[in-house]
Amino acid sequence: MFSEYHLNGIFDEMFEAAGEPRGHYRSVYTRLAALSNDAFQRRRRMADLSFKNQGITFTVYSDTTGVEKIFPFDLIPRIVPSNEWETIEKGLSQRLMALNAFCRDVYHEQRILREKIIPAELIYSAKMFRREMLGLQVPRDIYIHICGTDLIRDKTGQYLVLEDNGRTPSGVSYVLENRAVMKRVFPVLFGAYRVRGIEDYPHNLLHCLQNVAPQAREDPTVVILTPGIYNSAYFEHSFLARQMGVELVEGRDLIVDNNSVYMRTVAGLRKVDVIYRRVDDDFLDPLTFRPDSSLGVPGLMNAYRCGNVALVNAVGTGVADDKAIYPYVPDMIRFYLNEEPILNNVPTYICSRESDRKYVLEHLHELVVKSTNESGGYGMLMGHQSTSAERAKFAEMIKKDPRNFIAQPIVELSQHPSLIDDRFEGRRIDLRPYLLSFGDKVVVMPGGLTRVALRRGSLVVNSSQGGGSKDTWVLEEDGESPPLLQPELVPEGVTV
Amino acid sequence: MTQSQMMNGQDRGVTGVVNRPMLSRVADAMYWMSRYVERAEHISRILVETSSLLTDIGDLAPALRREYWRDVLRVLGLDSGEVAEELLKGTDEEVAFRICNFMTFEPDNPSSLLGCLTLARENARSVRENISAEMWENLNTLYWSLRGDEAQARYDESAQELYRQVLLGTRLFAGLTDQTLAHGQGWLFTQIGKSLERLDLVCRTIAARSMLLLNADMAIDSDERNIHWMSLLRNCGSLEAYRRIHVGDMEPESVVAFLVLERRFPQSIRYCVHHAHDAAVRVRAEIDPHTTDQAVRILGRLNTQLEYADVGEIERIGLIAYLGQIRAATTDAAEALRNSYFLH
Amino acid sequence: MLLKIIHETDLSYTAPIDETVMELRMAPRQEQDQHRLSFRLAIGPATPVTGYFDWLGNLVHSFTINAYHERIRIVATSVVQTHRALSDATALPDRWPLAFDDLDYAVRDFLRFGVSVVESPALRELADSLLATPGMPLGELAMAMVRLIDERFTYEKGVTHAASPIAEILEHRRGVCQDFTHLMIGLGRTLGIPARYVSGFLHPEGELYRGYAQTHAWCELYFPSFGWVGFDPTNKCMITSHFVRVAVGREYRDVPPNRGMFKGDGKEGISVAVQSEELPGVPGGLPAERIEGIGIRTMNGQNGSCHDPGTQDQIQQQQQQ
Repeated sequence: MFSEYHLNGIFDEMFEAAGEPRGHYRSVYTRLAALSNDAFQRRRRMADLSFKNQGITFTVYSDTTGVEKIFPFDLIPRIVPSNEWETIEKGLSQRLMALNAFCRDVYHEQRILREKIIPAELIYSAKMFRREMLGLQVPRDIYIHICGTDLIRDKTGQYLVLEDNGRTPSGVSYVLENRAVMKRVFPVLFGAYRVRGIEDYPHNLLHCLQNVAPQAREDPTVVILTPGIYNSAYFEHSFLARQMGVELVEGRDLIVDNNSVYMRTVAGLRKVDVIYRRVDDDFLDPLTFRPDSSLGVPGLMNAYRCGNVALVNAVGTGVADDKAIYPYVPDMIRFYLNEEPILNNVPTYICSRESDRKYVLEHLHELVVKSTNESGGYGMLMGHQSTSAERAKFAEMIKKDPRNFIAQPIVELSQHPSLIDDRFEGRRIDLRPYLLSFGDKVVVMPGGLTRVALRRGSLVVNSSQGGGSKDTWVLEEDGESPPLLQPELVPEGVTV
Repeated sequence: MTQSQMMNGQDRGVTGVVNRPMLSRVADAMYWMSRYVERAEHISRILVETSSLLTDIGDLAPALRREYWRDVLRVLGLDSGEVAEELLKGTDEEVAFRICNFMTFEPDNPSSLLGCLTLARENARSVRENISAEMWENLNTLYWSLRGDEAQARYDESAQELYRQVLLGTRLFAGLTDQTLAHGQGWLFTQIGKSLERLDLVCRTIAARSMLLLNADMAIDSDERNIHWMSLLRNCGSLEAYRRIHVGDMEPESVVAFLVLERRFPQSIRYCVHHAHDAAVRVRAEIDPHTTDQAVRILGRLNTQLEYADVGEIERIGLIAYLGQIRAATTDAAEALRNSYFLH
Repeated sequence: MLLKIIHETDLSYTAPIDETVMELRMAPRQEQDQHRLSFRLAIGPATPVTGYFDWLGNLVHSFTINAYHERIRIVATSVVQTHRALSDATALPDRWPLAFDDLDYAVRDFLRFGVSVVESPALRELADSLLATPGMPLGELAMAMVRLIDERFTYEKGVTHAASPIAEILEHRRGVCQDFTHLMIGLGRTLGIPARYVSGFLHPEGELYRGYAQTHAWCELYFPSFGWVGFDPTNKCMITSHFVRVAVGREYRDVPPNRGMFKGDGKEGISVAVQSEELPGVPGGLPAERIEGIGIRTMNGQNGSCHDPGTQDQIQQQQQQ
């Protein structure tokens, strides 16, 4: 099944050269190469069935209708050796510490603006800069409690940060589900590696949430606030509530009374201490933000301001993952931590800078243009794959509203073997690890969501754009993996 | 170990089991989820029975055929108005075809099977973390079995078969609810919902049938009459149980007494009232011990009334009026429940 | 000038409502040229009230009422000493245009257009008609704006409402103080002069000021040599000691005297009255700040008939006239 595998001249996660797997992939390679197509298809059906029956879905919106879809699961695991992971972990922690310091600063003293490290103009023109947060004290000074940072690898295999998702990053439920399915489908292969566990994530998440409970309450009431069943990530909201054993609430379940938040239960009102909100800032409190929002809780910001409830993530963190502010993260690391960045950024042109804009407009065909506040692969131009009409449209948009765009050179993402029909083919991947901030330390889940661009030649891995996902194995220690002694069997008693 | 077992192991969550009051919205959704599943069950049963009855008696009752189809609509309060008249136009075949379609797939009819199951699923989806994986999977599968081209094809091949599947699916759901969900507040609300819905539908079904037989008095001879009362029992899923107790007896009084007053059979009105009252008392005890509420009071009174009732009493008051009283009390109980628990 | 101002707001509903959440910006600001000696806030139905300063330094009072009620009454009574130091802006040394880079970035925030103050060709055209020339004293330009608005626009109630963007007054040429203020802010920003909205009171004292019986609004432009300088386009004048500054913001949405939400189907009515008087001296025993309840009854819930949990409405905002 590897016979027609091409390296495509980019960084391949599994192969150093044609037919030569890297050390940490050797066992997987041997095992996969030995499996018949039939055996593979059986496992694939097992996995698909597992997702389908449990309704592990996300919703894709086109126009006004939403369609529930299964997030395609690619059976071949992505393996990250421990020495690589160590760097990633340090780099990500450093980054999150800096981002939190930045949020704290930008909503209080604004040292970084006064010292002109970041142009104030850029901050004040950011759509997600919340003036309402100026001077507002948040519990333990943590703004981004939960972060999902997107990493990619370039042609040389260097890890680069593509973006920091500091608002409400999603996808962690797929990481946990992928692992559970993987263990069932490839028990022996999984057992042959010493893969670091991720199952304690819900536990860590709960502690992260409890950590910011007001007045250090002993057994704080934590809830997850969801926009409701029609939200594309509803499955995840429900999943995390179940995993943590906390209540999943909608805006209408909550009420503010005299600056405290309560949920409406069958026994009357019960106080809520921490809200893990999966509702965007704009919709959180119709009194403060969009008055037409029915997803939020009127008066919530007042309770927040009074310190009677913690919001996770804090309001206004979008200023830190604005794509035009992202280029300054390395400067933030130097400014706040007095350290050199461990992980590099992708070079970025800020269209509101005149010289950058000029360059971008002249080189649209070889750049990726992104809207600064969109996510999920929307509002993007892939220059090399675009038509001249599309480029003209983006050129117009950039000229009209330069602040809203950045551009980056096209990074040739690394590829990884994927099962496509009946053989393996290289497909582009990225990696989104999940980070939890406790203020003085950051806990990084070992692994994360490896997303795959399942369309041939595509560089876009987002689930809304035809992406799939893989289980990600971070190894406990490096060295050659042991040879497999046992044949891989599909567990007995499972009909496929 | 299957996936679902594993999920359940994790379901307790990291905080461990805590007996805390559930969200009003969640209680409301569990209650309605259960009501809609029960409604789908009753509707699919009536559709199966009506089509097979009309096959059984064939040409014997031409005048009644249409009334039987009207009966299906009447049970759900859909028997008057323009839509009903449209549905009841044309030949018998056309009427049968149209009403079956209307009651199975019609998106504008919230009482169609698809309508009920859509609402049941929406409710379930909004409380997924409060129900078991098995319940969700079952309801999800049931819902998809009525959606899409495949469902239409299976329906065209054999509507009866499709209805039987729905019937089986809904019963499975009830079983899973009992066996995979802790019998705490959430479960209790599903029980109240199921019981109130069932007792309401049984009341409506008896009333519709007796009205029909009353109006069509002259046209029916006594042999046929037996068939009609038997079909009422079938509509209420009670024929076999009835026969075991009343061997060879198809007297209207006996049938009514069984459907209304039978203590031991889960489809009877009295059983439902008892069960609903019991669940309401336990909900109250879980949430606020040593107190009572309006729903408990109403159901308690009704329960006592039915416990000491006899057929004579029903005859004195008149069957339709008697059923009307029970339904009125049921509506009040549902309203009281809403005020006590769902509206905070 | 020593002023006492009573600001009464009555909200009434055709059917009982529930779950009111409200924020008030009614307390005069404490500033160099304006001292709030006393502020009393009475609210009925009685409920706890919390005060905080928003990001613009305005004092906000917030409260919730979680029981059925058919009306809300708010009475804010202030005693304020005002002493405006500046009477003639043309005497200031500032000249147009302002050097953008010399402005503090927080002040530059008031150059950004918004929801009501929207950039448009019509606005640009109006700004061009001011014939601003480099080197022109900023104060003269400001007074030219005030005169331009007075010449070209008619004061008329009922044409615009609280949420009207300036596109409307530019089209109809009629509006009230809120529109005039937004318009002047728009002119200022178009010409690169930071401009902000002020909500407050105006003490008439015999002269015929427009908008005195209600809360009033005017515009402040930024003069680097002095700071914020107030102009009232509605009354074609500079701000004097008769003006009491309550809240400042980028535009009306930052400063409404009341903003709220409620649940229920009742239609809402709002009536507002402002009375002001000049005091001969500071009365004794004035509380610096006091919150009081007004005895308006609330009803118990659960009578079903008046409660529809589905709807949620915004409390009307009073337009500043």
